[in-house]
Amino acid sequence: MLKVNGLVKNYGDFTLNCTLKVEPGQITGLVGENGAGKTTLFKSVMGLISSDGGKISLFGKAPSELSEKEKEKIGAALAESGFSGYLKIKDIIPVLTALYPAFDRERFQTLCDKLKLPLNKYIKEFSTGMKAKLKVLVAVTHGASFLLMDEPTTGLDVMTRNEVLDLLRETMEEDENRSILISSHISSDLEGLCDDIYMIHEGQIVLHEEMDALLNEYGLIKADEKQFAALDKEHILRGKKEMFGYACLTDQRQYYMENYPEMVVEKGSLDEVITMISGGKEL
Amino acid sequence: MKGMLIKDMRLLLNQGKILFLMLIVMAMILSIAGMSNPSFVVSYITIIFSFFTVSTVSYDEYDNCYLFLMTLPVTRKGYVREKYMFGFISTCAAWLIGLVIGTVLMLAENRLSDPLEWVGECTVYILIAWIFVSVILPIRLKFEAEKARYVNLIMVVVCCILIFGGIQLAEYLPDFIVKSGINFLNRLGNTGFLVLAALITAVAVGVSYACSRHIMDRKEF
Repeated sequence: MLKVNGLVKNYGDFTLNCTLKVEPGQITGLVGENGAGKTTLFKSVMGLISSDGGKISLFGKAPSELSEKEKEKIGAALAESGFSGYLKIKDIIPVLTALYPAFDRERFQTLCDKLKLPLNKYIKEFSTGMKAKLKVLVAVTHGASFLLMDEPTTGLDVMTRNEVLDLLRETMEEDENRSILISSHISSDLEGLCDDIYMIHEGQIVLHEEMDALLNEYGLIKADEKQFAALDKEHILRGKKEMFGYACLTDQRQYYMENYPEMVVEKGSLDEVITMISGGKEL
Repeated sequence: MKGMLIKDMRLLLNQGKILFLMLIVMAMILSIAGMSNPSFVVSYITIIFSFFTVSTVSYDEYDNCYLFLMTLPVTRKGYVREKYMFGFISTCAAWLIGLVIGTVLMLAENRLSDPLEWVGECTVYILIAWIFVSVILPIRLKFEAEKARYVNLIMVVVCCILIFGGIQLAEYLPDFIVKSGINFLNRLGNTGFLVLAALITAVAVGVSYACSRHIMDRKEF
């Protein structure tokens, strides 16, 4: 579906350099701190900016070469960008009908009703949550094969976040070949949604893992100075000095649980992995 | 392109209708008060409204809308084509309304002696409006709102200098050149002048479209 191979983009001191793949039928997550390069990557994938190297292939073509017909298969919800605030939903319905032959007008209107989105109100008067819901709704109601979701849940309350995520889950269930590339600051959103996850840090992809593996096989070892000295460090990905001694990230939790029963080995979570990968050191 | 045209039409209906009504009311008041003539009404409505065409670019730019619009099934080429198409349709609509109002005023003042000449005169105004759009649209696509304002100002100053310079230069030109120029324009007649103006407009629109395509192809969002 999407292949990003050695993409390079330079912005002054910042360099994005990443390789990434989104398979058909998969939800791929992208996490990283602010300024890590997520939006730059998304802009490159959509052909909105030029690259300084590498290759991007979406539906087998470079993004800049995609025709209008091929772009109909893309559904994008970008952070802080959408239809003009001087339009109302009733204005954008005919726009979407004209742009997408597969636009499901009835479903769109039903979902607007369900998600409490008023048809006759200027978008600029919408709350953050309403704007976010509208963006996702526009992206999922025209039968797109590839969805690109840049921070679709940022700034939303728990209820609205769940509504947005449910909408994405429903959309994935409709078509087994559909794919989503999604970024979020909220790890729990990605943990419950994604099949695999990429972590980007200072423009580089520093981790790619299946979500199940990350949650089941990764672990956080908490060891004092003595335990740390005796610890087999072969399967330790990152380590960090803490108040009590050391915190170590491993992708072989079971191994350490079996061989070091006296040590605390906690189950991995995306938050911990992010913290350790970006803040820890290789041992 | 149809979808983007609908978007701009809706923006026009939501935001431009008040401007348009104000233009009509202003022009009619000036005309009825005897401070202008019906021909001014047509030119005023058509030319001022042509600026709204270009302002739809500002709506696309505002709040980063560009980013999202470019993810829709619209190519950069299609975006430029739509802006020119929208400019053409909206100025034609404004011109037609202006023409109807102007004609009503002409009839009311009993001044409509030659309808063909009147329509021909009014046609020049829509050509001027398209030249305006042709100059401003590429500037607006190239520069952000604030910078575009300065560039527009510079363009106005350059045009004034060129016109003033041209008039000054004519005084220093040999008589036979000036005379043959005047003779050429006289020989053209009304129809010929209109054809010449249409040709100049067509060239301006063509050059402007090519520039806009070039600017849009290189634009980073």
